Amino acid sequence: MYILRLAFSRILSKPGNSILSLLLFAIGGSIISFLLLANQQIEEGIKRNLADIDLVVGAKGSPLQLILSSVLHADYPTGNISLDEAKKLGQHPLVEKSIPLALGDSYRGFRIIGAPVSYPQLYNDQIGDGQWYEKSLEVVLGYQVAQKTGLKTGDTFYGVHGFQETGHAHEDHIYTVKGVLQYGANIADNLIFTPVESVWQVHDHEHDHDSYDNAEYDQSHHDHGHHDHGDHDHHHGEHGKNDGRNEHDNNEHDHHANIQDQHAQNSHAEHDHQQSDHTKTDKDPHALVVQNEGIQKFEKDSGNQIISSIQQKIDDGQDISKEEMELYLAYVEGNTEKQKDSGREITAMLLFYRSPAAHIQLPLLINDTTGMQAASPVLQLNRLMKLLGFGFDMLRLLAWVIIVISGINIFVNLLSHLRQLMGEIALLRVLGASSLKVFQLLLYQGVFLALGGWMGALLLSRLSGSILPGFAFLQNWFSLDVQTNEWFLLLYMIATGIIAALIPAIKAYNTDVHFTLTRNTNV
Amino acid sequence: MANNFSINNLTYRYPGNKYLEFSDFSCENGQRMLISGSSGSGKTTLLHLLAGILQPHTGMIMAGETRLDLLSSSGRDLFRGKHIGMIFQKHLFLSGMSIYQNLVVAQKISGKKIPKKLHYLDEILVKLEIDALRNKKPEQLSEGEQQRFSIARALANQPDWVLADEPTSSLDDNNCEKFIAAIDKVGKDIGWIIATHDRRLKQYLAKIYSL
Repeated sequence: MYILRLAFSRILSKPGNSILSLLLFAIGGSIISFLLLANQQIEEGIKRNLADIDLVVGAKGSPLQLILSSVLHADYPTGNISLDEAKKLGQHPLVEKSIPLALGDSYRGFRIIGAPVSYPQLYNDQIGDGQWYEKSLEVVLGYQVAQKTGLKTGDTFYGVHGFQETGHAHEDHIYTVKGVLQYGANIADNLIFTPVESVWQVHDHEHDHDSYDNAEYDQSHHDHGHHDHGDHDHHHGEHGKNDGRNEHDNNEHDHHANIQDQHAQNSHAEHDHQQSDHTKTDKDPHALVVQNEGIQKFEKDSGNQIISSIQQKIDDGQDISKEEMELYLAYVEGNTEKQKDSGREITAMLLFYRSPAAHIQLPLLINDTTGMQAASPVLQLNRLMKLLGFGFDMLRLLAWVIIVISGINIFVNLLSHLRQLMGEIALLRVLGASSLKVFQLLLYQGVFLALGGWMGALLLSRLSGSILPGFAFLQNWFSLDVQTNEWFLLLYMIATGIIAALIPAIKAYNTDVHFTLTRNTNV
Repeated sequence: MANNFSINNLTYRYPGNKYLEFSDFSCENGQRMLISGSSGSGKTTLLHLLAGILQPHTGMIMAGETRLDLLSSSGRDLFRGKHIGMIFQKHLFLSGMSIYQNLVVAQKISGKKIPKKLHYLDEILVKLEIDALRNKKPEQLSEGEQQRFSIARALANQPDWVLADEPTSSLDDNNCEKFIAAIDKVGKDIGWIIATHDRRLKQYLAKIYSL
């Protein structure tokens, strides 16, 4: 026990050297600890933000971009897709639930997400203040949005086009805050939620005087300039219920934030007609969560036993044959045909699978047979983590090297002071300490420096994580929990400390007391 | 009789086949013995053999009831820690620690348990008149003070014998007298074996062993 204390006081007696060794250990260790923490936090954070979304359907382009823009709300959207086409997917038998998203605007850097209430509820169903939005141009704020902008229930604001803090302002369309979410430690904290209709309404109007040129925005949405959709004058139903906003109806272009002209050309020709259907879907934003209601209705109406038995099979998670699938799809096709095309566009549709079979079938089906793209959040984010991983690996290698250098530093320190220390070691031996004890004394010094460096490393990594601005999105950073990997780091550092102290310790072990003392006396 | 120190037919072989032979002696409990001889005559070697730092080639070393020459290296370390204190010509100490901490460490290393409530170390510090310096670092002391501190450390484990190697050769007459006075004061019941060529000490020591 006294050897431990002695080792400790030896370290304290040479503060300069000790601090240098400690610092080197701490710097190397903190980089590793920081990377481990960041890795863990990012993975956890991403997992939380995936919210069990199985598939994202959006415009063709980079699948990673689609996931980043529509799930993590980080990148720019790939483009737009037809609401009606997306809805058809929502009615696919393998789909349990679907949520449409319309993006494109922001308020002071916070993205405004057009989506039914079920979307924010994926992340956080606790309204801290106020209530959920019901009508167009009503919003619910994420917790951080409210904190940082100072907006509260009852306040109003207008969004800007694009995702930057400044941009073209939609000054004609005032959003009203209906509620604020509780803190949820996920992406919802930094988003503003509004019905999909709000986004349509804002951008329909926008198109009337589409004279601004947001270069930055256009860059990501190459087709922003081609809004040649003719006169798709088909929103009377929707706008009819939005009192006081009818003035936009007459010359509307049904233009959404990021329209793809390809789609516009393909499908808009037949769109000028569906007031009745529209009224139905648009009355309630929740209706956009299409849960195969149409199919159930069909069953009642027609009594089609085959379809209902297929439906039953799907519900029970049984396999269905190819014929049954085709029959069912044909039915769904026919069924949605009746609903007609709204001509509306959304940015992405989030799909939730009914059965595991969908993992294989749906992405293929969508990518091969539609003009849209389907991307799996899990797969894409794994890809992203692998890309990031390379940089992490280099940094990690550097950190291991720094730790080895700190080991060398300890080695040189102990060895260079060993001559000086020899007299003390001889004294300890004379006082009754065995060779093994003086061996331990040196070894413990290496261990103590490593332990101190490790603690410094943990502290540094947590401090830097909370202070560095770029990492503010990582929640719960300053946790006192030590991760499993950090215990391995401790083992590595202690091993380095022991190896560094080993040769000096062996020299101390082999000290010839007689020789050291006589040399000392005869000097 | 239990604490006699004696050697019998003792020889030591240096690396390189140089032999040293020591004539027998027996030093009784509480007796003071001076080992005299010129430089290089083997005073320090004998002292280190007695302390168990060196292992004899042949012969017997009896320390009390213990055959020191038969003990293993670590056995001799243990024995030394419990029963022997040493003083050197050159002052050795653990740097970065106060006088008192040095004494505490010495006591701890010895493995001997001396209850703190006996205030044994305090008593020694007072007797040696270095109590006021207890929180100073050894390197801050004067030559004489350092030598008295060396005595204090040699006594920290309540030894049966103190072996001193040229303890006074760097001291002036005044400090030399003080050294003798000090061992009179604190080392009455202890056997002192002092290897020196310092003639000043001869008058104070009852027994002289010449090499």
